[in-house]
Amino acid sequence: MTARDAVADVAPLLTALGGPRTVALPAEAAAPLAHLTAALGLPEIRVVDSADDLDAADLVLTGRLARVDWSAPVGDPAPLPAPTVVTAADGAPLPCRTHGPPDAPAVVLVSACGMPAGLVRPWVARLARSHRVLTWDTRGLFDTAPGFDQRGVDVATQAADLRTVLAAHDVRDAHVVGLCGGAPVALAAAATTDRIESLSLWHGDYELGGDAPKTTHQRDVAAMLAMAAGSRERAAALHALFRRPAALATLRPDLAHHLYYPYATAELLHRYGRLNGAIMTTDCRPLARTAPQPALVVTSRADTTAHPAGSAWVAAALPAGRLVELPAGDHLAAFDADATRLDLVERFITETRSRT
Amino acid sequence: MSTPTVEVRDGVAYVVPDPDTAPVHHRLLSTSLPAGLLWHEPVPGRPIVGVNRTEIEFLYREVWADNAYLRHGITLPDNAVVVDAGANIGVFSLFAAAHCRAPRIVAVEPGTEAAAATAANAALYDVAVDVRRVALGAVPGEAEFTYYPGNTVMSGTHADTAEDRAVLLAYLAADPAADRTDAVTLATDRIQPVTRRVPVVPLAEVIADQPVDLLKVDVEKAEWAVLAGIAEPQWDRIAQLAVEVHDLGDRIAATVDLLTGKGFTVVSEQSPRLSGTPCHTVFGRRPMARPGSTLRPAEPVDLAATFGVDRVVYVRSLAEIPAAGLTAASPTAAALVEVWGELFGQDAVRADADFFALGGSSLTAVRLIAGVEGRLGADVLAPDLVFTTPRLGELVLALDRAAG
Repeated sequence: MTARDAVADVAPLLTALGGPRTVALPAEAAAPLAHLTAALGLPEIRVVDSADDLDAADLVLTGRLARVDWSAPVGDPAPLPAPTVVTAADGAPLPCRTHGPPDAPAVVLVSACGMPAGLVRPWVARLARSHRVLTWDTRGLFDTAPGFDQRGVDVATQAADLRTVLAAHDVRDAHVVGLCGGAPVALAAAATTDRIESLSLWHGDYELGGDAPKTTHQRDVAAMLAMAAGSRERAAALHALFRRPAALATLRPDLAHHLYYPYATAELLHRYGRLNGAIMTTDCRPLARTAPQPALVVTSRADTTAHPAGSAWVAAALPAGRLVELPAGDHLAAFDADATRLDLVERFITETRSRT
Repeated sequence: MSTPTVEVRDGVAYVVPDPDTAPVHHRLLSTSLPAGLLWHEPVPGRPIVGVNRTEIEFLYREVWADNAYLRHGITLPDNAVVVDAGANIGVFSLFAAAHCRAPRIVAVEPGTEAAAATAANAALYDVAVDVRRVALGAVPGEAEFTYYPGNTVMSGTHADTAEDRAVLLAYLAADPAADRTDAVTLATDRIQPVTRRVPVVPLAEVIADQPVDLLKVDVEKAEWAVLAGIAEPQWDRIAQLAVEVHDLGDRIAATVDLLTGKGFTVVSEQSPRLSGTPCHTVFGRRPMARPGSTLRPAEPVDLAATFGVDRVVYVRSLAEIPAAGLTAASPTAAALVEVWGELFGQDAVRADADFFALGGSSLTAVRLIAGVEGRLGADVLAPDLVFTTPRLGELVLALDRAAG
């Protein structure tokens, strides 16, 4: 990985944190890192030789930037691609990105709430070869526009954002990929627009009523989100916990710079509590029953984050659903998007399109 | 005179406070504090209500131990009229009430939690304090108030997060009692802003027609606007002032000039603890200021030393003393022990059980908190307490100490 790409990878987290930040890297990294952050318009990063006093955010930055060979010249870095901002009906800015041939069939990726776009890079890299791939950033979590408290956070609003993105890009027959918490949002949009031709829902995190099995992780995250959403003061108190290095113990190191994003600041944690909390508490049962499109529902027996039984129930309830339970791969395997999963989705898209 | 009922067990003295000889502790046990507040003894025998233990200790050290305000001839006469502008949790108001007879105190504090703590402290010590939950400014209106839940003393209407973080870091660097090893984390932890709208009134409205024996001002960079809210005829009725001034743009010199021009004898100084920060105190006294009271506060009683134990737990009756073993005297600690057992198994309910050694993570900590809150309500347990105090025995001790 080049130094420029590593810095670009942490750009959303760095922007949210504000500077200056501190990382533990070899001394030779200081000058090129300063050059890169200045050239890319990012907050300053200072280099120290010990990680002993770093907080969780700085350790996450360190982890990503430590993978770079800082002895190599950095030159003049290519600028960070700027998203196209589409405005929702209530004024919320929706930063959008498009990849692939503009006249190719469209695929829209609805990622997990609050995750930077880099988390779905494996999906984009493969699908953009033959599809026009669209993504957008969760409302309120990647911008500093005023008025968050006055705007909607519920699933209906987030589904409307998907419809807004489709309309703004004049997409008429999209295949929508819903990942983790993006799956309920995709479901909610499916019955409300004819711009969606088919769905694939990957390791979806579904609320299906009191008796539905849930993983320990789902229960814990739901409790945490409820606390963070309660008030900014509660989120700030909770944020103190997530600033401690011990909070990184369960984060996969190579994805930590994406996964940690919603915990980076107390304000983000509060907003994440409200937005993702809405997703995790919205009953998906009526949504699944009314989504008419052909839908591929994928999970794995090894998912200890989003209970596989949820995907099984949704697949059975969908009018045109098909369940695939893979034998291996944890929750993050959905984002790793290995060849098995990408072959699966491309076959499904092709089969669905051939029937219409 | 009756003596407190006490039983000593496992190095702990369980004390039933007598309403006559220990009225403050007696009131503590019969009072429910507002949500988000706790009490702590910065010195044994003197409980103070606040938002967190660290700030209670900081404010007590500044106001009582270091005597930040009664310096350079500033005194508190009997029947003093005291305006505590920027009261925070009311430590100076308590100090004033302990150093003169029958004072009339007005405490002005815009922060909801801090104002509630001021009122709670006044009730605890049976002191008549008129608490006004407003901000002070040159003219009436409304302002944005930045509240730092982890560092309420720096909250205010002129907050700047980066600047305030730097001031706190400078204070930590100069303070011999502060933990330097984690100063950056501490400063960032504590300076996490939450903004609110608050009403603003000029000091003229608070002072009205009454003479003021001592105006104390500690308002985090808003001092110039606060002083501008004093009506011209009122200045002659203010006998003494002690104003914390942030030395921004030559403000100290301007404040000295202003007060000198109003007829005060003025002295400016900076506490050694605040060296490296822009905070100074400007003292002003008129020749006609009344002489100070002869009252001296009683020294608090250190019951732990009296009974030769490590700690003291106050109980309503000896029947409340828990069984031997991992003793959890407060409802919060008892709930924690119960939830801990549910999370990790009853075999893990031991004083030396370590949260992380048992496989605890940040989400497990949230589950622990949710379990305790499910039993006792919100805000009874600081979310990151298990990270700073991971052993169950020490957690129980910390919670019992906070609850009294």
